Amino acid sequence: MTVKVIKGKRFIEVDPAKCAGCITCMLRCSLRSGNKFNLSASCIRVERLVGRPNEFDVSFSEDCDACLVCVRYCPYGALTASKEAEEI
Amino acid sequence: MNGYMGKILVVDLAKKELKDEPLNEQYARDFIGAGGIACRYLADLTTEKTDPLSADNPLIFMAGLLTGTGGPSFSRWVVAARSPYTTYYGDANGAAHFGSELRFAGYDGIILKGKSDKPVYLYIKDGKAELKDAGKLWGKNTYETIDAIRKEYDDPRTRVACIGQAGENLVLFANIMTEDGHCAGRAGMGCVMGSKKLKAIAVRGKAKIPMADPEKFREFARGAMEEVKSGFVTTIMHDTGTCGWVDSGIAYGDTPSKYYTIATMPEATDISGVTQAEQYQVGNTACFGCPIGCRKVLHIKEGRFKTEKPTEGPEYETLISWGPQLMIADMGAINHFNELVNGYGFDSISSGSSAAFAFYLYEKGVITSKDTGGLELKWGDIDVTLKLIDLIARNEGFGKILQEGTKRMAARYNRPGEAMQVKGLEFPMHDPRAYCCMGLAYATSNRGADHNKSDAYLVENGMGNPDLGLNPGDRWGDDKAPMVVLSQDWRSLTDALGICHFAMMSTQSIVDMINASTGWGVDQEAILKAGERIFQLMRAMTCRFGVTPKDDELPEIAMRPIVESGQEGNVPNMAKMLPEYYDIRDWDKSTGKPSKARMEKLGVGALAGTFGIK
Repeated sequence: MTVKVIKGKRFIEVDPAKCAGCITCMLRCSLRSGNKFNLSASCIRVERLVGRPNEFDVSFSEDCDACLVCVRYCPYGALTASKEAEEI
Repeated sequence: MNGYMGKILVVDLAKKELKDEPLNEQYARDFIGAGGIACRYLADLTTEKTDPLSADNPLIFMAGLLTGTGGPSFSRWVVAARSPYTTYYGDANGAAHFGSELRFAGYDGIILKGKSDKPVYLYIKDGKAELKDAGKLWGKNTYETIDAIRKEYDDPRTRVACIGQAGENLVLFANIMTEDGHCAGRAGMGCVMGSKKLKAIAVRGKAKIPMADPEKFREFARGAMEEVKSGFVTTIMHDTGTCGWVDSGIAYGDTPSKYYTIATMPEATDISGVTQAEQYQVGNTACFGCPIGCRKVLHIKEGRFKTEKPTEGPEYETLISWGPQLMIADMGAINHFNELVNGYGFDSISSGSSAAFAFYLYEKGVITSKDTGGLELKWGDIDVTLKLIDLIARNEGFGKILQEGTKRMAARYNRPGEAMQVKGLEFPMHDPRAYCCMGLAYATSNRGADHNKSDAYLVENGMGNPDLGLNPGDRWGDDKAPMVVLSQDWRSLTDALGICHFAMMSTQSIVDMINASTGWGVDQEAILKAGERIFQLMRAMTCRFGVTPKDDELPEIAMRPIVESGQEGNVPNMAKMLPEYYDIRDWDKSTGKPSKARMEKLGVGALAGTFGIK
């Protein structure tokens, strides 16, 4: 199952099966938007599913502009950018 | 206070009073974080008479200096108390996301005093803490407990550390579990928590960690992340996990089997890290900010122990303790044992070793089914093993004896020298006959035999620290005292920082991040000195609780050579290494305590009197 966030020509695909729950994407996103590590300011959200301890839900808030910083920093290949995407 | 949240939550469980206290700045400066600071507070709050299961034994949780700051794998935290299992100094090191979230909730640590009259759990959110009724949680395993609390607050980012039924039943080696099967495993910290009727601690928050120079910190953290990601250790740990040790350990005679009487069980290849990756692994999970993701998610699709959905897999220590040590090499069975042991919440190393000792005694006719409540302890018997796990968790029947551990079992059955332990804590699944440095590391580790307080065997395998000169040597050499000392000091420091041992970054990166965070302006020498200060304080504490030089010896069974093996009949030369170690540490030969001169050199001479050091 993949989840896409689409902003204009750029979109991000998520493969939750590859997500390891490290939340590095949330750290990097919050850094870009607020200049500090601050998980609550992150546009990407990683949450462990209740009752399914090794599975994660990855979602994006309305504020996400698909800058692709999360894609760049995910160590596990759970996030990919579309072919038409351009990195900022 | 840059680098720290600056607050400790102090909880009186009897009076149900909670208050914030400022983190002692001098303690932070001298002892850095996590186990170092926890030990310093314990020094204030205990005496040699403190009964580990009494209301007087404090239980202290503490995050590392760098925990939660976003550098690579900066996720770790420590829980410390006088150990009810060993009766000496006890601490355990945890990971996942609990430590980072504790800091985001506004605190560097929690000091729990007294005992509650009824089951409670502690809930901390955004700087506010409450004790809540845990009546509905009591009796649940750790998975159920974590899910129940997260559901209650409808907040999946609530992080929980809890005990299972073993902690509730005062199993002496009960542990504290968090999500993903991460544990603060050793020395019975879960037993202390259970004795206080504290079922769980839940944390959640949005606080930011104050820093002296946040921009420089991020730059150094980014560099450290690249160092970690590009290292070979990261690749090995990601691809094969800790169970990958089996693949090399087989050749080195370092996958102890049949209660340490054979060096390697041939069928161990069926359960190795590589085999798991090829046949069972469906994913990885990672701790806070970690690019390594060493934890495996396994799916056992066939056989008696097939699982409906993927589950966390066993780590190396559990794989061997509840596997080849009992002559079991069935991946499905061991995976199931892991789930049970983690759910009940007890130390897989101490428990597996105690079970294996029982099988060993049974084979020798020292115990019979009369002693075991009718159970026949035949090597490789999976059904009997399942019964033993259940009995241990319930602290009943033969489980009551097993949870006392090998040292007490050896005394009970009059088999001195055959308990594979030091100071009452069982050896991990690394054999001092395969890596002689570990003989010294086990003899001198402050909480008892332990492979994490010094990674000396990893140093011998090229996973040391070249910046400090921790490089591979001859694994059967007897010149290991300087290396073990340095490795212990280094690990005391990195544990206080909250860094994972698998995250290989340059020492300069660590120095830079400490300085950018705290503004202290320290160098490599200063942080290593802090590492020694922490180690020596823990030594003074473990001596306060009764350790003397005779407790720094290896058991006779550890010195029996296994000739036809990857160990090639070697045994550690303790007669040479231990006195050399004592000299380097400046420990008194009759009391085992650090000298006053050494305490003064480390800047803690003022504490000497409290430890009876003259």
